[in-house]
Amino acid sequence: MKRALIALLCLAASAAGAHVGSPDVFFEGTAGPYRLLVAVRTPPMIPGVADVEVRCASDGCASVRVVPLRLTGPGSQAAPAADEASRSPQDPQLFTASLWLMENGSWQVRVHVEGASGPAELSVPVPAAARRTLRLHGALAVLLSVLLCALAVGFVAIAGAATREAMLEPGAVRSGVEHDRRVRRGRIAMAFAACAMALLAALGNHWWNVEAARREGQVVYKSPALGVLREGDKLTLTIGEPGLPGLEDLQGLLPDHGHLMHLIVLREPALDRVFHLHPEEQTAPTFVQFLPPMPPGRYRLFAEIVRSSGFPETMVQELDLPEGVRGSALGGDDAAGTAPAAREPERVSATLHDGGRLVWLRPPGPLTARALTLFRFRAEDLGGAPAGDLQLYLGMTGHALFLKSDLSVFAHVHPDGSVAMPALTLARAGLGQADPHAGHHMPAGKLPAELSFPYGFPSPGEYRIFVQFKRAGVVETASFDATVVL
Amino acid sequence: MPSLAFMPDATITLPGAIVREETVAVAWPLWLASLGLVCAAAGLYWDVSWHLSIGRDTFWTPAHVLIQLCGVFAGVGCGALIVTATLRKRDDAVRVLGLRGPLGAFVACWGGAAMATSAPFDDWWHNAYGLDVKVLSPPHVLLASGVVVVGAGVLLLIAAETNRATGASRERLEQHLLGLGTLLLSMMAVFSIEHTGTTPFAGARFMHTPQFYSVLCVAFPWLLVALAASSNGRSGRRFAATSVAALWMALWTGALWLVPLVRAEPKLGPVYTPITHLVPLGFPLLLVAPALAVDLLGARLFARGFAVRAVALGAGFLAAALLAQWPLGSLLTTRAASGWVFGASNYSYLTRPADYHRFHELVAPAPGFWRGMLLALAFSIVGSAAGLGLGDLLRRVRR
Repeated sequence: MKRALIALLCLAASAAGAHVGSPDVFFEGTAGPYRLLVAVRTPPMIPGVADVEVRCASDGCASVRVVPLRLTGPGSQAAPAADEASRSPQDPQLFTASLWLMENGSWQVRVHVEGASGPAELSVPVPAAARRTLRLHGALAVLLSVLLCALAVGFVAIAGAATREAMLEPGAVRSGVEHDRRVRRGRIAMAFAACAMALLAALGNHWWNVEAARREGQVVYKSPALGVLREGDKLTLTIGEPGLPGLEDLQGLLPDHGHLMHLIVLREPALDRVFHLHPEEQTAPTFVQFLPPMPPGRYRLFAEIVRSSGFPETMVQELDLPEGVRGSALGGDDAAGTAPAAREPERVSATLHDGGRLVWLRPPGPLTARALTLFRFRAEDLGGAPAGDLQLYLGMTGHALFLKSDLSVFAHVHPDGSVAMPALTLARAGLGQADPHAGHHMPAGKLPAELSFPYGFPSPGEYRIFVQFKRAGVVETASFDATVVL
Repeated sequence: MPSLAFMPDATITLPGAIVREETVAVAWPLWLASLGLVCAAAGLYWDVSWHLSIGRDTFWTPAHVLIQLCGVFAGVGCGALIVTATLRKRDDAVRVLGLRGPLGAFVACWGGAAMATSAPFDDWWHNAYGLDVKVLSPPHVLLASGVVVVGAGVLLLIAAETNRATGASRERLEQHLLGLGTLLLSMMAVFSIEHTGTTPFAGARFMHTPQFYSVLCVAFPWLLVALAASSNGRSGRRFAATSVAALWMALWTGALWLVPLVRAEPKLGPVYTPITHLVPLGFPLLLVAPALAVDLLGARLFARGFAVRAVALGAGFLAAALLAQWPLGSLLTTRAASGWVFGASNYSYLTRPADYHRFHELVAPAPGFWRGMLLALAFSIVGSAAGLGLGDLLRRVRR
């Protein structure tokens, strides 16, 4: 049996929460009678200030207030004073606010709406994690250096003056032996002061380095390591320590759509093969997945889990399959799909297994980075009519993967948005909205042929979008390409 | 020139001194700079209380504005003194980098410049490492140093005036100096509050550990010794440090009882302890005890050498602090101290209920206690030596 120990180190330490390189949270939901689109742009450093956008898609929203709370635990019981969101003068349906997130971990932003149909509330789970520290450079570094040098020079000069002449009576004569002695003492004092300044600068620099290393090590989020061991078509995955040190409430996992782990596998660099797998837990923290037939190539693995606090994490790893895998047939909720090796940014429809199509109802104009956008798709049958045979896949009408071509961005989005479903269940429970189907988007009756996903690309570049949904018992995978500008 | 610190009614006669009737007029700048110190002391207390109660922080909170006004007032007042003296080429001033003016004005301006330098540094720090979650960070220490140096500069200004004055105006200036010393003491209490503050800080728990006394001996001996060395023996005064410490304790005790009457609610999450009022900074340290030791030892040892006095004052400060704080730590960690008198249950909104019990668990002395206390003694002696030097300067400065 061929054994291949792949690696034990994670690749993407810059990940934050459920996704990789995509820290903003996008959510579409209803607060009572009001349909809201919410974007929470988390700060790069925690504690920091998050920007919140609330777009009221229904008429009658008069005011919006937002407040941050922990998602679970004691900090979820008492809320601080809520902030009134500002209404945009250009767009009366848009409200914006800033919120302080003071700790790493699992948060929720509660949105209170007042309007013609009365007050209502919804809660958006927000995983907050510091992503980076900064190094001082550029104009500010020069400015601070100049100011500190000026302070040092001033200190030395004042020390000299204090020793040389501060004790003289006003009008004392500045000459003679005594004067020379004072001048000499002043020079000695200035030398001591210069040494003291140099020592202080060294000590201050050391303290700064220690503080910076402490913040980098203790506060900045690093996704857990993912150990990968392949024996034939058997893949064993081992999760490392939680990505947020010192937070004991990150122990344990919550099932997401009935699975503790979702494993997305993509062939590099063309992103022409995609697999959506669900490894089974053996003994925590080890999972096993029997691979389906896979062509040769280098694959990127994105393993998604949700901690018991509602904090989602995505671990990244590589898998080399020089000869491919024969594997066994896909089973359960597992799915696979193919996509063109070459980019086709102009194409807005993808052919489905029965000759039907998935059409991207792309709005006119370029796609811009960081803009909250509803990505809408319509499934059509062979005759071009809206498909009437859509089914729930993993409890949802659809799943969308947004991937930057260099794989520095990975986001797994549902019709509710980019939030993790178990976290949404916890958030709804906090509002007393728990129900047996919480966490599963289950429209009653026949499913509509149209899918929509709220999302915003984090940065400009070339992206590929995979849409997965189920029709007549078959999981369909459609792909689209997008060029995103600033 | 021998040290004049603690010397009763010392008179100064310097070789070559020609006393002129005209001196640098410091009346309004002095009052303006003093007002700046009042703003800083009040602003620092308010700022920490704001962080404990309301939480949300911007550059323009009232507390921050008060702190920044210290630098503005000191800069304007002392800058005016320097500009005037420089333009008039007065020879009754000290000369620094081609400028002229009172020594205290230069020192205060340096402090104001340090405060101004800390502003962009602090802003960058927030972006780089997160918004403030603790008092002592490098930019905050630069700001604190600036505030303390502004205070030292204003003390020097007053001291120079005092040393040139006679009669009732001298007595008034001496009282002014001690009043500003009280403000400086309050600032040092705020700067060290993460380690020495009682509830909602955990300082009381550590009053039986050497770490607590080490911080105490870094923060306070230099100032109390300087005030005692500069003021005792003048106008029949014998307890300058004691009176300053007592006044500070009275102010903080009053704040402990009155600040909670102001309504406030947290504007930041997570809220672990719901509160409806401003949280005060806790029961004050019993600094009156070590201050009394400094006053008494200073009077007894004024004729001895510098090193002997520094060692004796340092040891006396630490011994008296131990005698006072040790039982206070035992008291403040009991449930009996939970009422409004001692305020041992004044938790911040950030205090987790699961952690309440820790405020009532005294940390017992551990192995290495005496080694730690030796370090505290060293800090106290060095601080006392610095205080003697500053006190000597305050007593002798003429310009």
